[in-house]
Amino acid sequence: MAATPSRPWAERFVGRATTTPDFPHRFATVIGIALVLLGPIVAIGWIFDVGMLKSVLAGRPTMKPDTALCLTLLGGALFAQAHDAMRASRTCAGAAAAIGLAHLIEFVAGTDLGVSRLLPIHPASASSLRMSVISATAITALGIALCIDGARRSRFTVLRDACTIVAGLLAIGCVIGHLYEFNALPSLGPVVGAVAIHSAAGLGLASFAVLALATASPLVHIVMAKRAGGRFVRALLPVALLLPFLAGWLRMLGEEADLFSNEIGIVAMVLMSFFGFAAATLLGAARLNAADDDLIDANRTLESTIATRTAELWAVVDQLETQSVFTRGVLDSLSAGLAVLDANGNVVEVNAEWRRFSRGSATGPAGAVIGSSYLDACAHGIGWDREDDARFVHAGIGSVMRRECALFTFDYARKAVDDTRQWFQVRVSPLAAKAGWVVIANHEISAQKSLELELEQSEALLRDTGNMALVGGWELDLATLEMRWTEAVYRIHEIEPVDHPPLERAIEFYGPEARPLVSAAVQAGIERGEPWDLELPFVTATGRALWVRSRGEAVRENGLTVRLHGTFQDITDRRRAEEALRDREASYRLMFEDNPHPMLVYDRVNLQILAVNTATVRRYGWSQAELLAMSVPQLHPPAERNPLLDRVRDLGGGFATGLLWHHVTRHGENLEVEVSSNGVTFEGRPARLVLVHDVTERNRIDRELRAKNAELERFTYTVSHDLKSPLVTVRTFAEYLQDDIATGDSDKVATDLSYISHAAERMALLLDELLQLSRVGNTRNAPVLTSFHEIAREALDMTAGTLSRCGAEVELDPIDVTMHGDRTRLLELWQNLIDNAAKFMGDQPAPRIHVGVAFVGAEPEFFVCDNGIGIDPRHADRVFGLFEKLDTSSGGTGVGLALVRRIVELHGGTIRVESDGVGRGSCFRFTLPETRRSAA
Amino acid sequence: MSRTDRADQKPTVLLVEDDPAHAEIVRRNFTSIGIPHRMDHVWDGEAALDYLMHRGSFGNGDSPPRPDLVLLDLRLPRLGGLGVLAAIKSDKRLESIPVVALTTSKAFDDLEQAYRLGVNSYLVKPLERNAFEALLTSLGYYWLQWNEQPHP
Repeated sequence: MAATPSRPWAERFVGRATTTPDFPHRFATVIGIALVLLGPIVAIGWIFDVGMLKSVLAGRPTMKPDTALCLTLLGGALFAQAHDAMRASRTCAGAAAAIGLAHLIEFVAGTDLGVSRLLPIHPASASSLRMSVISATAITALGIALCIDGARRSRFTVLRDACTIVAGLLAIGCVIGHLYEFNALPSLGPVVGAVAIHSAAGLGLASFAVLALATASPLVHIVMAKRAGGRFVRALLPVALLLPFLAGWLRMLGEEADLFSNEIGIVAMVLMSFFGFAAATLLGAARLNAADDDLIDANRTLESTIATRTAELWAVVDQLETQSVFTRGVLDSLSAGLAVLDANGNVVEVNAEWRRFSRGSATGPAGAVIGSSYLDACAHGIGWDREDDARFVHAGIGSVMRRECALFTFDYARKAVDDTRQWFQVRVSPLAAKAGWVVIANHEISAQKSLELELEQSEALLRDTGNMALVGGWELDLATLEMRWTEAVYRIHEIEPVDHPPLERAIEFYGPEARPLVSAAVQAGIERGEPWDLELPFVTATGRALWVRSRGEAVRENGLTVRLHGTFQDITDRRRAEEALRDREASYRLMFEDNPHPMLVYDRVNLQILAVNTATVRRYGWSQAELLAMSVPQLHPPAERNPLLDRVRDLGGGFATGLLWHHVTRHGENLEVEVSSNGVTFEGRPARLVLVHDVTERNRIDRELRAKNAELERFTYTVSHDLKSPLVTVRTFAEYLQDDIATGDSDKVATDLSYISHAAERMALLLDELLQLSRVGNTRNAPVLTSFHEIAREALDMTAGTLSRCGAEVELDPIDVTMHGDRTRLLELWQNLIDNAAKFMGDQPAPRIHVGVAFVGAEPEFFVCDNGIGIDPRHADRVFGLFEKLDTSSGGTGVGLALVRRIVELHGGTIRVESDGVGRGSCFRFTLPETRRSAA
Repeated sequence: MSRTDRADQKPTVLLVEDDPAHAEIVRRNFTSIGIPHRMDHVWDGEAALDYLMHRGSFGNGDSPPRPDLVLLDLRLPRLGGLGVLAAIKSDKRLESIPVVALTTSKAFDDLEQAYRLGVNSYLVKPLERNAFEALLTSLGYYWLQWNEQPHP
């Protein structure tokens, strides 16, 4: 993937740097064919003596027949080399060279070897048919050059180039000679003029073709390269070659035609050459600039490509680095030591644990050094406690390396530095990617190993304890119906061990109610492979009743049960203990559930209610489920919630008793409660067990009692005051009386005596009324059926004396109602009220008393009204108080109206007094619900 | 009554007592100790306040003097002694008048309440004549002779 992006730019640059082989080859091919055809044409000229074919222009030297042959050979060689046929090229070129060389030898040695007569077309003398020395040299040089492969660089490349250039120069020289017609170069005339025009042209073109094919030549490379230099040379070279030639020719033509003098001709030629070269140089420079621009572009593209590529490379490097760190981290964090061995058994890589393990070896480090041979270490037991272990592992590694096995594991013990014994497991597995390489993992298995050892020991122990704990094992082979029991099973059955336990009788040991269960379980085990675990009543061979636990499971093969096996245990003791525990738990539960006091358990942390008893449900009105969804503060009025939280926090798990709180029931009833609680752990949570003592009723009674006590106290003080007052009077005046008698003041005696008798009378009255008052609460007469009118009339009779004294007119309202109650008390009630009305008539000239009953709804309200002195409304509530008197002038003791209120309240009623003020009469109104209720 | 001739006047005692026998006993004792004084007797709390504030039956004609001592029974018809005491002690013009509770009740509530309302002394009538006489004699001397009080 990393190589893919590189391809476009690589292709682009390689493509630009390579020269195109098409033109030189095509050029060489065309020249080759032309030369091959030239030979026969010249030969025809010789045979038919056609002058134009032999010398082109009349009077000019002819092309000799062997020259024509050589040109044909060279043409063939060029064609062959242009088509990569080096062998053919060498053959043709070699032949041409040999002919040329033979002529040269003839010239040098001055002998005639008869080379010119090789061809049968020589009508003239031999000497005139001989090719010139220049032609021979050029042909020899080109022949040699064409024997060397121009496309391949070798040590002959220089020779080839040299030969070609020599041939080319000679050919060009001859062409120039013909053009100048020897005038300019008279000294060379005879030499160059000996070569025919078409020989010189053919050899010259052949030289260019040979150069064109010399792709391996540095010289040609310079010219042909598609580089700046190549372009420059290609621009300059034609000018350099043709310009002097052209200029010279033109000058010569001009001079011959006598157009200008010799001097002017020279100047013109020099100027022409000068401007021609300047123009060529400019053209070359333009080409160089263009090439440079191309280069800059290419560089720029290259730079950006390199930058991209570098960034890609860095990303790849980073990724690899991360991967490497990760892999290293993972490997080093493994608890197993890991090492990779190459096919020779040398350590290639290890992780941290392997290094640590090697250092911890009692016999010194081995195998930790990367590059050392672990196989050798194993073979020599280095780093191993036991040589046998080492050799075994050595063999194992070898077999995994040879891929004879896919995994080799081996457990061995090693003594640690602190002299403890450790168990290790070595695992050797093949490294998939590399043939012969392996990975060795080494990890400590001391814990498993000791467990295994312990297991072995405990299995032995199990056999022994099985008998003691009365746990046995059994097995039933369904194919043979053969049963096997361990010793303990026999012992539980209380039968002697025999080879084959009594399969058919085994079921009979179970209690009759358990037998169907056992049969069903065994059948389910056989048919469906279901395991069972049953606790069953059991009777031993000696008739002892036991509880046993039978567990069994099926061993199945191909979906069929082939064997049943299981355990058999005497659990009688456990069952009994459980039953006892259950009983005890039930009785404890009873103490909570059926406790007459509300009890609950709540979570000490979140105050959630965790358990409640039936009394709680009954008292608070919520169902058990509702209570379990509530928290304790919800039982309290809002004002108490914060103090409660503080209290719970302070208490922690401690004991608390006698805490007074308020609870609110579902129906909004306010309870006063005394709470005792203790910290407990309930279902694993810190909790508090709470016992609620509802003291609402107790507190109510308590408050009532306090009120009664206070009333009693007030009564006592009042009574003592009112009784003491006449007593003080009697005693004091009795002594005054003594003084009076001593002084004989008889007037004073009478006065003092009246004080005494008055006080005594008051006291008697007081005591009498107090007795009456105390009777109201204590003495109860059987209730009788009577009527309002009956009572009222009798009361009026009883107060007739008082009424006649004040002269009051009494009106009894005609409405009557039936009553049911204590007749004596009811009489006292009306009697006192009528008496009271008569007593407080004041100076009323027409005293009137109205007695009756009015209905307020269904409830009759009785009234006793008068037009007497009335009551200041401010004192209206005081009139019923004991010993309260509003008027000292009357003879009352302040007990009468207290008695009236007492009787009214005793009959469940209320009494009030209405008055418009002093002197405007008063009206006592009261109800007696009790008399109505029992009357109806 | 002018302020200047007040010094020449006999001290006035207002007795509030509903029991005529007890009132007679007090009167006799105050007479017997020989300090010249004027004693006015009313029978209940309302009358006492009428007397002090010159209203009701005391509101017209010859207004009664400002008493130098109020002897107050607590158990009174219409308006109790404590009510009278509260009215006196909450009235700027009357609050400096010494009020002595003279009662047969030793009820704790009454005692507490009386002192809270600012009673100057709380006395319980003894049963024995000698003790009662001794108390009344001391009372007369103390309040009428020895005790100094600011003039209104």
